[in-house]
Amino acid sequence: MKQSVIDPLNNTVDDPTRPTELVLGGQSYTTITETVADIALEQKTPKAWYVAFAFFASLTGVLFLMIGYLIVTGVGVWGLNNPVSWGWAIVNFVFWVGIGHAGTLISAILFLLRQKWRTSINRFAEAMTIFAVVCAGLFPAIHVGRIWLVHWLFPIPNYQAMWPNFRSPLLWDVFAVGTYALVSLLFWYTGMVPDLATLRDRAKGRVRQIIYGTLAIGWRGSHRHWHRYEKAYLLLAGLATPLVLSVHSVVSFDFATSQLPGWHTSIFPPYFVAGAVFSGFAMVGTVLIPARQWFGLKHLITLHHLDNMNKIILATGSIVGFAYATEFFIAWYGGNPYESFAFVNRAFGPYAWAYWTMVTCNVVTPQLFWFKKIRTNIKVMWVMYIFVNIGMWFERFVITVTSLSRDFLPSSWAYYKPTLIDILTFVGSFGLFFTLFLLFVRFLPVIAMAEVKTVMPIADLAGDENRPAGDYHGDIHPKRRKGDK
Amino acid sequence: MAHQRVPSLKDTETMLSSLGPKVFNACLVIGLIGLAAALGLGLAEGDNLRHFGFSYLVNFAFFLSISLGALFFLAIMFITKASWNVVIRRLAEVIAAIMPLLGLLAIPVILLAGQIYGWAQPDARTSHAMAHKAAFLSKDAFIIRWAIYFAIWSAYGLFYWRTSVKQDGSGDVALTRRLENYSGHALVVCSLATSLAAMDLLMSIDFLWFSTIFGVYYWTGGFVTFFAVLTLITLGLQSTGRLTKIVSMEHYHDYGKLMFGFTFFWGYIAFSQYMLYWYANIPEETAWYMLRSENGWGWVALAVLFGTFLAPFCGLLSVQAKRNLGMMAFWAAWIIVAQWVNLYWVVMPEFSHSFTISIMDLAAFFGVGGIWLAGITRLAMGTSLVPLKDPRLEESLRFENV
Amino acid sequence: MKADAETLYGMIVEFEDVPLLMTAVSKCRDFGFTKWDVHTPFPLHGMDRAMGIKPTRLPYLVLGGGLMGLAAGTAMQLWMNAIDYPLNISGKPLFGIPANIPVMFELTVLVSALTVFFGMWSMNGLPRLYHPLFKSRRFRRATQDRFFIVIEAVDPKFELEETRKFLASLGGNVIEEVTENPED
Repeated sequence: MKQSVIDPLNNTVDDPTRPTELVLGGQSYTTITETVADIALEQKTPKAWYVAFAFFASLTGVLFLMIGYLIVTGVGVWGLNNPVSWGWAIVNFVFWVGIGHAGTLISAILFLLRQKWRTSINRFAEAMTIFAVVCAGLFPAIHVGRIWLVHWLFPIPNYQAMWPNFRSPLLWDVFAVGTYALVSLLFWYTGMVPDLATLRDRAKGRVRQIIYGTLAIGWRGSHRHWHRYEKAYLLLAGLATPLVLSVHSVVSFDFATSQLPGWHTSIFPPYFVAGAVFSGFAMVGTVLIPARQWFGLKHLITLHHLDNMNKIILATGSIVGFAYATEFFIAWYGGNPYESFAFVNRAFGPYAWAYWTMVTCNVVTPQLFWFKKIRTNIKVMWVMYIFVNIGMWFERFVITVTSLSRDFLPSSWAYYKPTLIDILTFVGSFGLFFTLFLLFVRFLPVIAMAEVKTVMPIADLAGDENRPAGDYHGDIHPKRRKGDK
Repeated sequence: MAHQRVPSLKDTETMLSSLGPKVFNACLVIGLIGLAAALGLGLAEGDNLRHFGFSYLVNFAFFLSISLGALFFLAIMFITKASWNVVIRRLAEVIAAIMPLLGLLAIPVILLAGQIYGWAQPDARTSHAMAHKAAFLSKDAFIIRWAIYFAIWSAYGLFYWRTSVKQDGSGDVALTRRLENYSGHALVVCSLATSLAAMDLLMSIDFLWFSTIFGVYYWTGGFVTFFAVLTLITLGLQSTGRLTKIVSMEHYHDYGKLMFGFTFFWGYIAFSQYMLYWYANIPEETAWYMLRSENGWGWVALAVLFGTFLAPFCGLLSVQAKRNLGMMAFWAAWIIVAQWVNLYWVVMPEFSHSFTISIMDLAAFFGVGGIWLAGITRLAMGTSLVPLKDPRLEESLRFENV
Repeated sequence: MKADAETLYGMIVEFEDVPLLMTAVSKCRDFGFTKWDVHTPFPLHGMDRAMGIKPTRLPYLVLGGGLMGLAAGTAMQLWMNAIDYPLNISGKPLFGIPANIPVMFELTVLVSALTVFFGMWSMNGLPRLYHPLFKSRRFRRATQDRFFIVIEAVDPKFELEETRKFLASLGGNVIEEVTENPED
């Protein structure tokens, strides 16, 4: 507080002598609880929420209408053709499952790395993970053709006494995405139980008390419980970390185990993971910024949080750019004419427009995040997030479609175009995602209250007034720090 | 309890002082004898130093990877504004700042390129597969690229060390800010250089083979070895009474977590490359693995799988192992040996299609390693072993694992 | 609140101040209570030591779960693809380790995570929707902004007046008795 900070909510000033404060505005445990719990319990639902909910719920309706039409009519309603037998469905699947990865990165990997700023945004990000995986899971399920036989994906003995082929990467997907969905749900719910108990204890109506009470399964903040709970949380984080690496790696195996030029390259697994985190952070930002604005959470989700997120976007975006460059270099270096054709075709072939959209959005524009002015400008960063979302969708489109549409045999080359059904199904999946999200922000604790309380800036016990607290577990004192208003 | 007394630097010896010259002399003598012995054995083989060249390459690549690990460690620590590492950061700084010496140690690799690299052989120059990249894989281009790599690594390595040492005197916080700000482009530039250098140094021995992940594979191995080396150096310094009161079990616990984490990551990268090539089964790609799984090399491959991944993964899984100094020393030494075997397995089958190992490999190990360590000791002798006035030092001293 | 000794669940004392709480907890530990607990809105570090809680055995349970998952994943793939219905696909071995590792890995993680989840909640004795402590209105702040020490009446060292005096000496805000039977 010695430096002249003009904006009290700007905590991005770089001062190596003190840890950054993660909760601003002289909060106490009481005010944190009120701020977060009242969103679910007390605040009148904003009109904008109803408008948004009506809009996205109708989009969800469109999604299910399209799925119904698909089931009744058959996959011929999509734009798939002979060489391009994987179209928008797989692109959308990879897009959505990638989005989810940021949530796990924030909740598990940043936890293991002691990045305490994660506490304000991890609940959002984990919720996003689950909703994104729900959207992702839809696409392969409706893509299998005879949807009523979708249970054949699982190792259930059927009447032909056959088993699924475990050497197929598509089956690995079933296990990877299935495990991921379940573990993410367990992680999210485990993290939420103490906060649900807070809602139970503050709820006024009988119905809410019963619902939140049931969800809170009788949590009463016992330290003997906290003790095992924290160990369990650490173990789940430790398990989720390799899991999240594996999920997008397995997704990349769908492509990379083949012999198709442009798909078969050994950097795919880590490059897909980096791309997934990249796109996921952009999506977290896309929903976080409006939510933070509408629900008055600017002192909890501070500029420092957004600045950090933007740095991760810059880093992962650069890794993605590095992977593009490496692929191009090795396509040339390896001397395989099919491989080099595939890459020249990407950049200058019929899908060049998609390729350059991808490069612009994924590699070029994120480089603006080198500048702090841009990293801390809310409006500009939100636009950048949209760019990244677009770019990462196009990345999957470019990978899937360019390699398939022009493979080894020129006589079978074809141009792939989505149909209206393709487009509406994809748009509809955004409806499902945002509908779930709107329900989440309205009825559940949107910020991990219990976790934020552990990183609050409260005066040091030793009375050393110069030593800023905060960002430490352990040094906890309920009185506000001197100098705070 | 939550409030322990913060240890003070006054409690502990933070200079190498009289130990410095002893270690320096010993390492230098071992290094020179090792190199002379390896060279002598190589000359005695009468193969135009071909075997020596490969032996030397394994060890040069090994110690280079450790210093690169230190360089990346510093960049990552500064860019994330991490505090836990401050108390041991000077050790990483000197390991990274030794880059110019490694540049000198690269000269034999360049001189012997004609003996080592497939692309430098006369028959390769006429090969169809070389036609489009003959200019890239030529001796001139090779020399130019290595000059650029070492210019980059040395610049950043020396930058971190010098700036940090400068702060010992002035305590200027602006220096920390500069270190943080430079780390962004340091990571970008060094990643590009390291990835390409790994391909030049090891992948291009077989000029027909390629793998996009190869740079990451080499880098990860070096990164995990760096943590093992850091663990052993810290333990060694503590056994002489240095850093004893300020480097705590919490720091070792972090070393353990990093060794464990990057052991897993190494396994993941190695598996990605192997599985994809195994699965697609394209001859030009599997040739590399075929060579390395036949004529005795298959056993080495299994030793690599077990030694670099399975064993340390199981060994470092538990918290108890990471907080037990004996176990930490054991696994650090194990990882160093295993990662060396890994590089040996990457390089040597190109020299001899059937398994071979000789005393020359050991001599070259002590040769390159001795000189490398002597250089590091020399750098560490002049200054404190701890960045005395780093603004985050106090946090580093007091931190506790949750 | 009135309660006779038979239906008394225990006695709670409220704190606002963490350092005071920590000292109080250490005193309770040293006094030798066995049936007692501390309730906090968020995990407090150093509390394990202050209360004298031993490390949980959960990690060993999870290791066992993980190994079971690994074994199950391996056995399932071996039996289904190589023994029960062998099928040659793209010339790959019926049980080729590289192609079977992903599913082995996923099942290891899955069973481990399920063990963490169910193991932790069952070790904590949850779900348990009713608890005598929930009857105290004051106690509702245990999940918000207050800290409580609870001494159960079944503790061998519990004696109504003595314990009340002891708790009063700890410097907390309010002492309250909580009864066992639900009452409306």
